Amino acid sequence: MRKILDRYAGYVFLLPWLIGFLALTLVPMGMSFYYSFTNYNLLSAPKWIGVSNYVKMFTSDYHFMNALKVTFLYVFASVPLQLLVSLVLAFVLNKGVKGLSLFRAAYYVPSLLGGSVAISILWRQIFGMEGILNQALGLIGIESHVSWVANPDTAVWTLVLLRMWQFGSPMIIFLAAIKQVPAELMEAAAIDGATKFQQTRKIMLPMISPIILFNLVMQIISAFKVFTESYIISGGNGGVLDSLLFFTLHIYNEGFSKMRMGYASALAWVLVLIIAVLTVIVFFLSKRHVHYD
Amino acid sequence: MKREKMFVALGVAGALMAAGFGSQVVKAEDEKVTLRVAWWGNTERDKLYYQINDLFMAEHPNVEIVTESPGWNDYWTAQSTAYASGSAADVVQFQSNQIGEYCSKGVLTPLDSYVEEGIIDLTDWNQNFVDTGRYNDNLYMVTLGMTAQTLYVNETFLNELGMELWPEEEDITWDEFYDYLNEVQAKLGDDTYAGLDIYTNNDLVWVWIRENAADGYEWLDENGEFAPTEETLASWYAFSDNLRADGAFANVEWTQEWNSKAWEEGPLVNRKILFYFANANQFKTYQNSMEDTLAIRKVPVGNDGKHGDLLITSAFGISETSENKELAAEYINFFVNNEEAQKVFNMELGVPGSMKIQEMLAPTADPSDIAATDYLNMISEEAPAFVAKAPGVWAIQDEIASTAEMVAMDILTPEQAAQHIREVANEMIAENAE
Repeated sequence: MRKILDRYAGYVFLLPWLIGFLALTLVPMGMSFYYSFTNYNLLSAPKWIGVSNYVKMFTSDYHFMNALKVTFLYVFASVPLQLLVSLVLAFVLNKGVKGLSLFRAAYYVPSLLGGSVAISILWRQIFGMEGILNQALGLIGIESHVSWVANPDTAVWTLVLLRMWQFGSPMIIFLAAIKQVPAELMEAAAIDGATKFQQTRKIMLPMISPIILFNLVMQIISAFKVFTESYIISGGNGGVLDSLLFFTLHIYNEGFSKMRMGYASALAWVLVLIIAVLTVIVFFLSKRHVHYD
Repeated sequence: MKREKMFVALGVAGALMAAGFGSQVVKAEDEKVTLRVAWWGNTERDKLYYQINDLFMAEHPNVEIVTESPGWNDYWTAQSTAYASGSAADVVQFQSNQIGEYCSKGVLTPLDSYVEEGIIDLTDWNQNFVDTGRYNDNLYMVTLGMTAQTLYVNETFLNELGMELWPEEEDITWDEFYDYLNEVQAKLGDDTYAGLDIYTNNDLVWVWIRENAADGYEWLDENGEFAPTEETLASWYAFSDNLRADGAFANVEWTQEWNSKAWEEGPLVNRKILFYFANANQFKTYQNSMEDTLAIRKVPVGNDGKHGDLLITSAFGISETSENKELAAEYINFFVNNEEAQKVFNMELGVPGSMKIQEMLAPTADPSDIAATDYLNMISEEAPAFVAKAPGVWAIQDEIASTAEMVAMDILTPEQAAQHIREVANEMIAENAE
């Protein structure tokens, strides 16, 4: 009896999560997969239309291609830059800076605030036509009347900058990984005459490469899911010429503004597919560069 | 021992059950009926609704009002999902833009029987205002406040330029307005424009369309297809495009930047423009945010003299799923006809439908609100009859605006843009008709 109880106790403890996972994730995902093959406007019953929604996005929805372009540009520009900044800062903080915990906390704060409505509004104020950036440029003699958030050529780059600023979370993880690298390895290399750069390149980076991969995958997924910033900064419409129409915003607009929940579901599944394929590619490419020993 | 434990357990269970039944009996005697009311809100607006709800509950001690008041954008997400899940509030606030979408799906209750029984009293109302709640001959909504597009003019600034404004009752055509804007622009310096570009104005485009449509066929033609012709849509795009080329409207970037600001901080208030199309109920906000004298004029008429004004209502409807429809109807009637309630509301969402309430509020109303009331009553007589937008039509207005950006950036010609809109609109309409 005791053995049986022991065997099932784990499942009982798991139950709250399991119920949540089934009711709040798996079932809605299944429903959304079904809706993606329907014409569903939320107010009347969904009607089966086969793969029409998937065909439509490639044939008659130019916003879809715009959203793809903007999102890919954002992900491929912001994630490497964000990881680079967080890695460099993690190295700096590892140098035994005085008041390390204070710096660590201070640098982490942007990660907590980054995706918030308040920061998105602040971003508008900084990069607007009469924003802080243009005023600062004015002080050094550069007259600028560009609205960096409204100009289709620069808008997405302001959001790339916002993401770079949210370096705290990967930085903390990098810092923890760096601290795990045995000091004797670095000392041995130093004794053998390796420079600091060589120690970092040949020992430190390979040693923390699994963590770099982890941060890379997590940040790619997170960057694909960015919504609040583009929603607030573009006023919900995706900006001039869709310059801030991130994929998630396109899904939201189709689903809730235009009440095309069937089509929005199809878009969501395409996003899942894109993220899955990219993750597989990253893992495949990482085989050569990531060292687990 | 075991038996003792069992008796104790049974005793406890029995006591609990008795207590449960007891509380149910007590509950039945003073049970309150819950009425759920939803509106789009903000902190200040919510206070008005709460005060009115308190007044209603004071008259109906057995009623408890439960409220839901997300901000504008979240509100529509909340409502569409609530209706999808069958959990919508009893009384739900709508805007006339959405009437077609919701009424055509049968999720709202026709209110005609409540009006006939006198539960909702619409006598001495402006009937043109009442009609904004109709869809396919049934009344589904009762207005809380009425508005429509108007032309705001910074009259002080205009006079400083040595120009005079035309009389308020006079109609001018879009062509005349075009020339007037260019005349103004010729007297202005850098970074100041005669008007704010109209391409982002999702309400004004429908006025333009109605000016160019046959009565009754504003949204759908005889075949059930999108009625606005390519010519009408192309002329809408060309109007903005030409004024941008003339310099009387700014470029898209400038327009987007200034459009994103709050009303009180917008280009009209900051003397960046002189002419601005917006809803008439915003008059008080603009005027109180600036020292210059602000005037309103009618939206220009079509070049053949046809008016196209489209009344916009914020209105209460009753969900089909409500179990307290009659109480909901009583609540709506109280909200729109009770003098105390309307003193509290004080034209928060525009001009009241009841002429009696308009008269009651007039002596203490802000002069801008009085001007807006007179304006709304005037154009409601001149405008073609209100026809609710067909399902699917409302959803294409974002496409009309985003396509305008492509015209402004020389990616599409006005004619190509018009063709694109007709294709998209017909697709949306077909989806809704399936």
